[in-house]
Amino acid sequence: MTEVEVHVAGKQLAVRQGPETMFTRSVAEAMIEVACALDRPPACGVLPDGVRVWRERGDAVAVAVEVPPHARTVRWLTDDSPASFGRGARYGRFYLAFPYVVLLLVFRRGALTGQQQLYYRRAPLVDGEDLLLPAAYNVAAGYGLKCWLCLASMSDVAPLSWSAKVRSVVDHTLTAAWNKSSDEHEGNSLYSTLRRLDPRIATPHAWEEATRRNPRFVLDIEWPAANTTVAAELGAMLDRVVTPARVATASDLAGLLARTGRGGRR
Amino acid sequence: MERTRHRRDDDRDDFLAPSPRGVEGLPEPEPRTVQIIWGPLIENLALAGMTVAEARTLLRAPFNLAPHAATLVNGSPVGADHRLVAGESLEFRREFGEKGGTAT
Repeated sequence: MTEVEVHVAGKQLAVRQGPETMFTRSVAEAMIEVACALDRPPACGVLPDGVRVWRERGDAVAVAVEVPPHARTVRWLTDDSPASFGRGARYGRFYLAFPYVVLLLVFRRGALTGQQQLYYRRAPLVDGEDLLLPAAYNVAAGYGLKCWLCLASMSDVAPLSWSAKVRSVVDHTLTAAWNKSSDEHEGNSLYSTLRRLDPRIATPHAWEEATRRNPRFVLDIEWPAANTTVAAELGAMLDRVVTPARVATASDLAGLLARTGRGGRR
Repeated sequence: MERTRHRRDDDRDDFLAPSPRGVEGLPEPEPRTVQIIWGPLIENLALAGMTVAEARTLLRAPFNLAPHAATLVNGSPVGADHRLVAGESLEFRREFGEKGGTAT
């Protein structure tokens, strides 16, 4: 029996058997069909705690981590602090309630890439993907992102397992002291921008008082819509780290195989 | 470890309860559950009735608790003999650096 052959030329892919052309596709369509048909389990195996979305592209991984509503004791820069962060900064310990916190993170070769954001939600991600702007220090509009999260003082997470990596970022985000570093470096922070949104979060003292009255009050606050979604943000963040493959022609396909190192000379 | 809704007093292996889900109309915590917070870990567990010391002993291995982490209930320091009440939040706390470019 004559072998089936696949011919790729220009923008067309043709499947032939002997003299007969069985069917044709555009290269772009065919690549999507092939990609969808292949089984590619997440590199992490079992998803780490809290991870609700996991996307891979090349050597990059984008995740959405959801932290449930809770109240915790945090160190928060006092309004009379002589320094915005670092040496001389003055912190108070405050018991503050948080709504759902969504962290969007892109790693490359297991390391953080600077593509990281923090948003709030009033409902879990299983109920929808729209995101809300957070009242948080160290979260700023910057670097092309609406809610960039400062992780500058974190140590390298590349050597860690996926579970430890995610836990380490969440731990740093929730427990390292909150300050006005982003107000200095990025020229803004979402807490400075949004603290007048509701008198219950206007100061850390007011926030703590409201938390002690009702730790769920943060789920009632009308946090401003970020007018974006988890999928849109993760996609855009991934695009900045790994350019999405465009495979619409035979030349694109050859280039992709050459870049991935699997198209070497025989 | 198997997760169940309620802890039987005579079976401490059966202490884990599901985390709450939903927000607008967020269900109230399960009866007998206490919210446990340790760094990135946030779990609602059926620990009501236990003392803080008993809870610490029970959670030390599964949560990898630091032996001397301070304990707070609903944000206030408590002693080891504090008996947990359903709906309370038990936080094991440690200091951990600061955010930003220049840590002190």
